[in-house]
Amino acid sequence: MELKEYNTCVKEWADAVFRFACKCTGNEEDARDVVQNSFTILWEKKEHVAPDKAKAFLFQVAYRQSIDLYRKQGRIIFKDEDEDNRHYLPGQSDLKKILERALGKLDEQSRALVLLKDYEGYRYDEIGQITGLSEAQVKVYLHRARKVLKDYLVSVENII
Amino acid sequence: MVNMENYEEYMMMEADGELNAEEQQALYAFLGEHPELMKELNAFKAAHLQADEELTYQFKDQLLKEDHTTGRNKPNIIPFSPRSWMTYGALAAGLALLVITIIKRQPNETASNLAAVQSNTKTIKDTQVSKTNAVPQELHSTPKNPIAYEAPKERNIKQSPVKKTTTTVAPAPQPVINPNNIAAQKQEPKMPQQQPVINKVKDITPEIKPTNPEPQKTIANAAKEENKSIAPTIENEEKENKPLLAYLPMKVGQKEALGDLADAMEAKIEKVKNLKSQLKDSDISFKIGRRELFVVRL
Repeated sequence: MELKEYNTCVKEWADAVFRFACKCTGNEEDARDVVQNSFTILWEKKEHVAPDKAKAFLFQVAYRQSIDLYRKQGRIIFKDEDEDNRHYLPGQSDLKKILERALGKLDEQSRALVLLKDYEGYRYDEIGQITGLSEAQVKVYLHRARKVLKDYLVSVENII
Repeated sequence: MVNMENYEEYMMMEADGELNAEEQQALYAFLGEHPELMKELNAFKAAHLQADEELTYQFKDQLLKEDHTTGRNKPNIIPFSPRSWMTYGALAAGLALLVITIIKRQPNETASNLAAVQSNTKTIKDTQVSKTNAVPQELHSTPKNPIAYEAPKERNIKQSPVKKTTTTVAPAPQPVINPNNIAAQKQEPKMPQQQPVINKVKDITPEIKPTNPEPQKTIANAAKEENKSIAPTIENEEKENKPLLAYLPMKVGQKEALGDLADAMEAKIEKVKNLKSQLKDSDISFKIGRRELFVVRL
Protein backbone atom coordinates (compact mmCIF):
# COMPACT_ATOMS: atom_id res chain seq x y z
CA MET A 1 0.00 0.00 0.00
CA GLU A 2 1.26 3.40 -0.95
CA LEU A 3 0.69 6.71 0.73
CA LYS A 4 -2.04 7.64 -1.71
CA GLU A 5 -4.00 4.48 -0.90
CA TYR A 6 -3.50 5.07 2.78
CA ASN A 7 -4.98 8.54 2.51
CA THR A 8 -7.84 7.09 0.54
CA CYS A 9 -8.45 4.63 3.38
CA VAL A 10 -8.54 7.49 5.84
CA LYS A 11 -11.11 9.32 3.80
CA GLU A 12 -13.26 6.28 3.12
CA TRP A 13 -13.06 4.24 6.32
CA ALA A 14 -12.30 6.56 9.21
CA ASP A 15 -15.99 7.26 9.80
CA ALA A 16 -16.93 3.59 9.61
CA VAL A 17 -14.18 2.55 12.01
CA PHE A 18 -15.18 5.34 14.34
CA ARG A 19 -18.85 4.27 14.36
CA PHE A 20 -17.87 0.67 14.93
CA ALA A 21 -15.50 1.61 17.78
CA CYS A 22 -18.10 3.95 19.20
CA LYS A 23 -20.66 1.16 19.50
CA CYS A 24 -18.08 -1.33 20.74
CA THR A 25 -16.51 0.82 23.43
CA GLY A 26 -19.63 2.75 24.35
CA ASN A 27 -18.14 6.25 24.17
CA GLU A 28 -16.70 8.53 21.53
CA GLU A 29 -13.52 9.41 23.38
CA ASP A 30 -12.33 5.81 23.46
CA ALA A 31 -13.53 5.39 19.89
CA ARG A 32 -11.31 8.27 18.75
CA ASP A 33 -8.30 6.61 20.36
CA VAL A 34 -9.21 3.36 18.65
CA VAL A 35 -9.43 5.06 15.26
CA GLN A 36 -6.15 6.88 15.71
CA ASN A 37 -4.32 3.75 16.81
CA SER A 38 -5.84 1.72 14.01
CA PHE A 39 -4.63 4.09 11.31
CA THR A 40 -1.27 4.49 12.99
CA ILE A 41 -0.78 0.75 12.84
CA LEU A 42 -2.02 0.66 9.27
CA TRP A 43 0.55 3.30 8.34
CA GLU A 44 3.30 1.38 10.04
CA LYS A 45 2.28 -1.84 8.30
CA LYS A 46 1.33 -0.28 5.00
CA GLU A 47 4.04 -2.10 3.12
CA HIS A 48 2.55 -5.44 4.17
CA VAL A 49 -1.12 -4.56 3.67
CA ALA A 50 -2.69 -4.72 0.23
CA PRO A 51 -5.05 -1.86 -0.57
CA ASP A 52 -8.03 -4.18 -0.95
CA LYS A 53 -7.35 -5.66 2.49
CA ALA A 54 -6.89 -2.35 4.23
CA LYS A 55 -10.47 -2.05 5.41
CA ALA A 56 -10.47 -5.52 6.95
CA PHE A 57 -7.11 -4.74 8.55
CA LEU A 58 -8.48 -1.56 10.06
CA PHE A 59 -11.53 -3.31 11.50
CA GLN A 60 -9.36 -6.14 12.78
CA VAL A 61 -7.21 -3.70 14.73
CA ALA A 62 -10.23 -1.69 15.82
CA TYR A 63 -12.07 -4.83 16.95
CA ARG A 64 -9.15 -6.01 19.11
CA GLN A 65 -8.54 -2.62 20.59
CA SER A 66 -12.21 -2.03 21.30
CA ILE A 67 -12.63 -5.40 22.97
CA ASP A 68 -9.46 -4.94 25.01
CA LEU A 69 -10.41 -1.42 25.99
CA TYR A 70 -13.90 -2.44 26.94
CA ARG A 71 -12.70 -5.35 29.00
CA LYS A 72 -9.93 -3.32 30.61
CA GLN A 73 -12.22 -0.56 31.70
CA GLY A 74 -14.90 -3.04 32.77
CA ARG A 75 -17.54 -0.73 31.58
CA ILE A 76 -21.09 -1.87 31.65
CA ILE A 77 -23.07 -0.02 29.13
CA PHE A 78 -26.29 -0.60 27.33
CA LYS A 79 -27.37 -2.80 30.24
CA ASP A 80 -29.72 -0.28 31.65
CA GLU A 81 -32.12 1.44 29.38
CA ASP A 82 -31.55 4.76 31.17
CA GLU A 83 -27.79 4.72 30.49
CA ASP A 84 -27.96 4.45 26.76
CA ASN A 85 -29.97 7.60 26.30
CA ARG A 86 -26.70 9.43 25.59
CA HIS A 87 -26.19 7.35 22.49
CA TYR A 88 -29.34 8.54 20.90
CA LEU A 89 -29.31 11.36 18.50
CA PRO A 90 -32.34 13.53 17.83
CA GLY A 91 -34.53 12.37 14.99
CA GLN A 92 -33.71 8.68 15.28
CA SER A 93 -36.56 6.32 14.65
CA ASP A 94 -38.10 4.27 17.39
CA LEU A 95 -36.91 1.05 15.79
CA LYS A 96 -33.41 2.37 15.83
CA LYS A 97 -33.68 3.31 19.46
CA ILE A 98 -35.02 -0.11 20.36
CA LEU A 99 -32.24 -1.83 18.49
CA GLU A 100 -29.63 0.37 20.12
CA ARG A 101 -30.97 -0.69 23.45
CA ALA A 102 -31.03 -4.29 22.37
CA LEU A 103 -27.44 -3.99 21.29
CA GLY A 104 -26.54 -2.99 24.80
CA LYS A 105 -27.78 -6.32 26.03
CA LEU A 106 -25.19 -8.20 24.06
CA ASP A 107 -21.69 -9.03 25.22
CA GLU A 108 -18.84 -7.12 23.59
CA GLN A 109 -17.92 -9.88 21.19
CA SER A 110 -21.46 -10.53 19.94
CA ARG A 111 -22.00 -6.81 19.65
CA ALA A 112 -18.90 -6.50 17.51
CA LEU A 113 -20.08 -9.38 15.30
CA VAL A 114 -23.48 -7.77 14.80
CA LEU A 115 -21.91 -4.43 13.99
CA LEU A 116 -19.54 -5.96 11.49
CA LYS A 117 -22.42 -7.76 9.86
CA ASP A 118 -25.01 -4.99 9.87
CA TYR A 119 -22.88 -1.90 9.56
CA GLU A 120 -20.27 -3.15 7.12
CA GLY A 121 -22.06 -6.11 5.51
CA TYR A 122 -19.19 -8.53 5.99
CA ARG A 123 -19.84 -12.18 5.31
CA TYR A 124 -19.41 -14.81 7.99
CA ASP A 125 -16.01 -15.90 6.72
CA GLU A 126 -14.81 -12.32 6.52
CA ILE A 127 -15.98 -11.65 10.05
CA GLY A 128 -14.10 -14.78 11.07
CA GLN A 129 -10.90 -13.37 9.54
CA ILE A 130 -11.33 -10.06 11.30
CA THR A 131 -12.20 -11.44 14.71
CA GLY A 132 -9.99 -14.50 14.57
CA LEU A 133 -12.98 -16.81 15.00
CA SER A 134 -13.96 -19.66 12.80
CA GLU A 135 -16.85 -19.24 10.40
CA ALA A 136 -18.92 -21.71 12.45
CA GLN A 137 -18.21 -19.74 15.64
CA VAL A 138 -19.20 -16.52 13.94
CA LYS A 139 -22.41 -18.13 12.78
CA VAL A 140 -23.25 -19.43 16.25
CA TYR A 141 -22.41 -16.17 18.07
CA LEU A 142 -24.11 -14.05 15.50
CA HIS A 143 -27.28 -16.15 15.44
CA ARG A 144 -27.41 -16.03 19.18
CA ALA A 145 -27.07 -12.27 19.13
CA ARG A 146 -29.57 -11.92 16.35
CA LYS A 147 -32.11 -13.93 18.29
CA VAL A 148 -31.62 -11.64 21.29
CA LEU A 149 -32.18 -8.59 19.11
CA LYS A 150 -35.23 -10.09 17.49
CA ASP A 151 -36.74 -11.18 20.76
CA TYR A 152 -36.11 -7.76 22.26
CA LEU A 153 -37.65 -6.07 19.27
CA VAL A 154 -40.68 -8.34 19.34
CA SER A 155 -41.10 -7.93 23.07
CA VAL A 156 -40.99 -4.14 22.83
CA GLU A 157 -43.45 -4.15 19.99
CA ASN A 158 -45.75 -6.25 22.06
CA ILE A 159 -45.44 -3.76 24.91
CA ILE A 160 -46.09 -0.85 22.62
CA MET B 1 -33.85 -29.37 4.17
CA VAL B 2 -35.69 -26.75 6.15
CA ASN B 3 -37.79 -28.05 8.99
CA MET B 4 -39.23 -26.87 12.31
CA GLU B 5 -35.92 -27.47 14.11
CA ASN B 6 -33.67 -25.44 11.84
CA TYR B 7 -35.94 -22.89 10.19
CA GLU B 8 -34.74 -20.12 12.57
CA GLU B 9 -31.17 -20.64 11.39
CA TYR B 10 -32.31 -20.44 7.80
CA MET B 11 -34.32 -17.31 8.61
CA MET B 12 -31.34 -15.61 10.27
CA MET B 13 -29.09 -16.56 7.38
CA GLU B 14 -31.71 -15.24 5.00
CA ALA B 15 -31.82 -11.99 6.99
CA ASP B 16 -28.00 -11.83 6.83
CA GLY B 17 -27.99 -12.55 3.10
CA GLU B 18 -25.99 -15.75 3.52
CA LEU B 19 -28.32 -18.18 1.77
CA ASN B 20 -27.74 -19.26 -1.79
CA ALA B 21 -30.56 -19.52 -4.28
CA GLU B 22 -31.28 -23.16 -3.55
CA GLU B 23 -31.44 -22.61 0.20
CA GLN B 24 -33.63 -19.56 -0.30
CA GLN B 25 -35.99 -21.63 -2.43
CA ALA B 26 -36.13 -24.32 0.26
CA LEU B 27 -36.82 -21.73 2.97
CA TYR B 28 -39.61 -20.02 1.09
CA ALA B 29 -41.10 -23.41 0.22
CA PHE B 30 -41.13 -24.20 3.92
CA LEU B 31 -42.69 -20.82 4.68
CA GLY B 32 -45.28 -21.57 2.02
CA GLU B 33 -46.23 -24.55 4.05
CA HIS B 34 -46.07 -22.51 7.29
CA PRO B 35 -47.19 -18.95 6.52
CA GLU B 36 -47.52 -18.13 10.23
CA LEU B 37 -43.70 -18.17 10.44
CA MET B 38 -43.37 -15.37 7.88
CA LYS B 39 -43.86 -12.83 10.67
CA GLU B 40 -40.87 -14.28 12.46
CA LEU B 41 -38.75 -13.97 9.33
CA ASN B 42 -39.73 -10.32 9.07
CA ALA B 43 -38.71 -9.83 12.72
CA PHE B 44 -35.28 -11.26 12.00
CA LYS B 45 -34.95 -8.97 9.02
CA ALA B 46 -36.00 -6.00 11.14
CA ALA B 47 -33.46 -6.83 13.85
CA HIS B 48 -30.68 -5.35 11.77
CA LEU B 49 -28.90 -2.24 12.83
CA GLN B 50 -28.57 0.75 10.59
CA ALA B 51 -25.32 2.70 10.67
CA ASP B 52 -25.63 6.18 12.08
CA GLU B 53 -24.33 8.27 9.19
CA GLU B 54 -24.34 11.41 11.30
CA LEU B 55 -21.70 9.95 13.54
CA THR B 56 -18.45 10.89 11.80
CA TYR B 57 -14.81 11.13 12.73
CA GLN B 58 -13.82 14.79 12.88
CA PHE B 59 -10.04 14.45 12.90
CA LYS B 60 -9.27 12.87 9.56
CA ASP B 61 -6.78 15.59 8.70
CA GLN B 62 -4.60 14.42 11.55
CA LEU B 63 -4.58 10.92 10.07
CA LEU B 64 -3.70 11.99 6.54
CA LYS B 65 -0.08 11.83 5.54
CA GLU B 66 1.76 14.33 3.37
CA ASP B 67 2.65 13.32 -0.13
CA HIS B 68 6.44 13.39 -0.09
CA THR B 69 6.68 12.04 -3.62
CA THR B 70 5.61 15.37 -5.06
CA GLY B 71 8.22 17.05 -2.96
CA ARG B 72 10.93 14.96 -4.55
CA ASN B 73 10.13 16.41 -7.93
CA LYS B 74 10.71 19.89 -6.67
CA PRO B 75 14.24 21.27 -6.98
CA ASN B 76 16.30 20.87 -3.87
CA ILE B 77 16.82 24.24 -2.23
CA ILE B 78 19.74 24.28 0.14
CA PRO B 79 19.22 26.84 2.83
CA PHE B 80 22.18 29.09 3.41
CA SER B 81 22.56 30.72 6.72
CA PRO B 82 24.68 33.88 6.98
CA ARG B 83 27.40 31.93 8.72
CA SER B 84 27.58 29.31 5.99
CA TRP B 85 27.55 32.09 3.40
CA MET B 86 30.64 33.54 5.02
CA THR B 87 32.31 30.16 4.96
CA TYR B 88 31.48 29.57 1.33
CA GLY B 89 32.50 33.11 0.47
CA ALA B 90 35.88 32.69 2.13
CA LEU B 91 36.35 29.38 0.36
CA ALA B 92 35.43 30.87 -2.99
CA ALA B 93 37.72 33.86 -2.46
CA GLY B 94 40.59 31.55 -1.60
CA LEU B 95 39.95 29.50 -4.72
CA ALA B 96 39.75 32.62 -6.85
CA LEU B 97 43.02 33.93 -5.46
CA LEU B 98 44.70 30.61 -6.11
CA VAL B 99 43.43 30.44 -9.66
CA ILE B 100 44.37 34.04 -10.43
CA THR B 101 47.85 33.51 -9.01
CA ILE B 102 48.33 30.44 -11.16
CA ILE B 103 47.00 32.16 -14.25
CA LYS B 104 49.14 35.23 -13.75
CA ARG B 105 52.20 33.16 -13.20
CA GLN B 106 51.69 30.99 -16.24
CA PRO B 107 51.91 33.77 -18.86
CA ASN B 108 55.23 35.02 -17.42
CA GLU B 109 56.66 31.57 -17.43
CA THR B 110 55.45 30.92 -20.90
CA ALA B 111 56.77 34.26 -22.03
CA SER B 112 60.22 33.58 -20.65
CA ASN B 113 60.15 30.08 -22.05
CA LEU B 114 58.98 31.47 -25.32
CA ALA B 115 61.86 33.93 -25.45
CA ALA B 116 64.38 31.24 -24.73
CA VAL B 117 62.91 28.82 -27.20
CA GLN B 118 62.50 31.50 -29.82
CA SER B 119 66.11 32.53 -29.55
CA ASN B 120 67.28 28.95 -29.88
CA THR B 121 64.99 28.03 -32.70
CA LYS B 122 65.57 31.16 -34.67
CA THR B 123 69.28 30.85 -34.34
CA ILE B 124 69.08 27.36 -35.68
CA LYS B 125 66.77 28.41 -38.43
CA ASP B 126 68.91 31.32 -39.46
CA THR B 127 72.01 29.30 -39.56
CA GLN B 128 70.28 26.80 -41.72
CA VAL B 129 68.62 29.22 -44.12
CA SER B 130 71.25 31.87 -44.59
CA LYS B 131 74.69 31.56 -43.19
CA THR B 132 75.79 34.93 -44.48
CA ASN B 133 72.94 37.05 -43.16
CA ALA B 134 73.11 38.90 -39.91
CA VAL B 135 71.07 37.88 -36.87
CA PRO B 136 67.38 38.93 -37.19
CA GLN B 137 66.06 41.72 -35.06
CA GLU B 138 63.68 39.57 -33.06
CA LEU B 139 66.34 37.08 -32.30
CA HIS B 140 68.19 37.75 -29.11
CA SER B 141 71.80 38.41 -29.79
CA THR B 142 74.20 36.09 -28.17
CA PRO B 143 75.56 38.57 -25.63
CA LYS B 144 72.13 38.70 -24.07
CA ASN B 145 72.62 35.20 -22.84
CA PRO B 146 74.78 35.65 -19.74
CA ILE B 147 75.99 32.11 -19.72
CA ALA B 148 77.11 32.32 -23.27
CA TYR B 149 78.60 35.75 -22.76
CA GLU B 150 80.71 34.78 -19.81
CA ALA B 151 81.62 31.43 -21.12
CA PRO B 152 84.80 32.45 -22.92
CA LYS B 153 86.31 33.76 -19.71
CA GLU B 154 85.83 30.42 -18.00
CA ARG B 155 86.67 28.21 -20.84
CA ASN B 156 89.09 26.06 -18.92
CA ILE B 157 86.91 25.67 -15.85
CA LYS B 158 84.75 22.61 -16.02
CA GLN B 159 81.62 23.78 -14.23
CA SER B 160 78.82 22.94 -16.53
CA PRO B 161 78.19 21.14 -19.75
CA VAL B 162 77.60 24.53 -21.29
CA LYS B 163 81.25 25.44 -20.97
CA LYS B 164 82.22 22.05 -22.15
CA THR B 165 80.31 22.53 -25.30
CA THR B 166 81.78 25.93 -25.92
CA THR B 167 85.26 24.60 -25.61
CA THR B 168 84.83 21.38 -27.44
CA VAL B 169 83.73 22.70 -30.76
CA ALA B 170 85.56 25.92 -31.15
CA PRO B 171 89.18 24.80 -30.82
CA ALA B 172 88.90 22.57 -33.81
CA PRO B 173 89.40 25.28 -36.36
CA GLN B 174 91.69 27.26 -34.11
CA PRO B 175 95.01 25.94 -35.30
CA VAL B 176 93.89 26.25 -38.84
CA ILE B 177 92.61 29.74 -38.57
CA ASN B 178 94.93 32.67 -38.54
CA PRO B 179 96.03 34.10 -35.23
CA ASN B 180 93.94 37.16 -35.77
CA ASN B 181 90.82 35.06 -35.37
CA ILE B 182 90.52 35.85 -31.73
CA ALA B 183 87.26 37.53 -32.53
CA ALA B 184 85.97 34.24 -33.70
CA GLN B 185 86.86 32.75 -30.38
CA LYS B 186 84.99 35.51 -28.68
CA GLN B 187 82.00 34.73 -30.78
CA GLU B 188 82.06 31.20 -29.61
CA PRO B 189 79.74 32.02 -26.70
CA LYS B 190 76.93 31.86 -29.22
CA MET B 191 77.32 28.14 -29.12
CA PRO B 192 75.83 27.45 -25.72
CA GLN B 193 72.44 28.52 -26.98
CA GLN B 194 72.41 25.32 -28.93
CA GLN B 195 73.47 23.08 -26.15
CA PRO B 196 71.63 19.96 -27.19
CA VAL B 197 72.81 20.23 -30.72
CA ILE B 198 76.38 20.81 -29.70
CA ASN B 199 76.33 17.93 -27.30
CA LYS B 200 75.36 15.75 -30.17
CA VAL B 201 78.20 17.20 -32.14
CA LYS B 202 80.44 16.45 -29.25
CA ASP B 203 79.40 12.87 -29.44
CA ILE B 204 80.11 12.85 -33.09
CA THR B 205 83.62 14.25 -32.62
CA PRO B 206 84.79 12.97 -29.25
CA GLU B 207 88.43 13.21 -30.12
CA ILE B 208 88.37 17.00 -29.97
CA LYS B 209 89.68 18.28 -26.67
CA PRO B 210 89.85 21.92 -25.87
CA THR B 211 92.33 22.30 -23.06
CA ASN B 212 95.30 20.64 -24.62
CA PRO B 213 96.79 22.84 -27.34
CA GLU B 214 99.06 20.27 -28.93
CA PRO B 215 96.46 17.59 -29.38
CA GLN B 216 94.28 20.31 -30.77
CA LYS B 217 96.72 20.83 -33.47
CA THR B 218 96.76 17.18 -34.32
CA ILE B 219 93.04 17.02 -34.19
CA ALA B 220 92.79 20.12 -36.18
CA ASN B 221 95.14 18.66 -38.74
CA ALA B 222 93.12 15.52 -38.84
CA ALA B 223 89.98 17.55 -39.17
CA LYS B 224 91.60 19.58 -41.80
CA GLU B 225 92.44 16.47 -43.72
CA GLU B 226 89.03 14.93 -43.27
CA ASN B 227 86.89 18.05 -43.69
CA LYS B 228 88.85 20.17 -45.97
CA SER B 229 85.74 21.69 -47.37
CA ILE B 230 84.16 22.52 -44.02
CA ALA B 231 87.04 24.19 -42.30
CA PRO B 232 87.56 27.03 -44.73
CA THR B 233 83.87 27.67 -44.82
CA ILE B 234 83.73 28.02 -41.10
CA GLU B 235 86.73 30.24 -41.21
CA ASN B 236 85.07 32.63 -43.57
CA GLU B 237 81.81 32.61 -41.68
CA GLU B 238 83.50 33.44 -38.45
CA LYS B 239 84.94 36.45 -40.05
CA GLU B 240 81.51 37.55 -41.21
CA ASN B 241 79.98 36.94 -37.80
CA LYS B 242 77.74 34.11 -39.05
CA PRO B 243 75.16 32.24 -36.98
CA LEU B 244 76.28 29.60 -34.60
CA LEU B 245 75.10 26.65 -36.59
CA ALA B 246 77.60 27.54 -39.22
CA TYR B 247 80.40 26.76 -36.82
CA LEU B 248 79.23 23.27 -36.27
CA PRO B 249 81.14 20.63 -38.12
CA MET B 250 77.91 19.01 -39.22
CA LYS B 251 76.78 17.53 -42.42
CA VAL B 252 74.06 19.16 -44.44
CA GLY B 253 71.54 16.41 -43.63
CA GLN B 254 72.02 16.92 -39.94
CA LYS B 255 71.48 20.61 -40.33
CA GLU B 256 68.26 19.94 -42.17
CA ALA B 257 67.19 17.76 -39.29
CA LEU B 258 67.91 20.63 -36.99
CA GLY B 259 65.75 22.81 -39.18
CA ASP B 260 62.89 20.33 -38.88
CA LEU B 261 63.33 20.35 -35.15
CA ALA B 262 63.16 24.12 -35.16
CA ASP B 263 59.95 24.01 -37.21
CA ALA B 264 58.39 21.58 -34.76
CA MET B 265 59.36 23.83 -31.88
CA GLU B 266 57.87 26.81 -33.62
CA ALA B 267 54.65 24.90 -34.14
CA LYS B 268 54.56 24.18 -30.41
CA ILE B 269 55.16 27.82 -29.68
CA GLU B 270 52.24 28.77 -31.90
CA LYS B 271 50.07 26.34 -29.97
CA VAL B 272 51.12 27.93 -26.72
CA LYS B 273 50.34 31.36 -28.14
CA ASN B 274 46.89 30.19 -29.19
CA LEU B 275 46.27 28.72 -25.78
CA LYS B 276 47.29 31.98 -24.22
CA SER B 277 44.88 33.93 -26.41
CA GLN B 278 42.10 31.48 -25.60
CA LEU B 279 42.74 31.94 -21.94
CA LYS B 280 42.43 35.68 -22.38
CA ASP B 281 38.98 35.31 -23.94
CA SER B 282 37.67 32.75 -21.47
CA ASP B 283 35.87 33.09 -18.16
CA ILE B 284 36.15 30.98 -15.04
CA SER B 285 32.96 30.25 -13.19
CA PHE B 286 32.82 28.81 -9.69
CA LYS B 287 29.97 26.45 -8.93
CA ILE B 288 28.85 24.42 -5.95
CA GLY B 289 26.64 21.74 -7.40
CA ARG B 290 24.51 23.54 -9.94
CA ARG B 291 24.67 26.80 -8.13
CA GLU B 292 26.97 29.34 -9.75
CA LEU B 293 28.68 31.44 -7.15
CA PHE B 294 30.61 33.93 -9.30
CA VAL B 295 32.48 34.32 -12.57
CA VAL B 296 36.04 35.50 -13.00
CA ARG B 297 36.55 37.29 -16.32
CA LEU B 298 40.15 37.16 -17.52
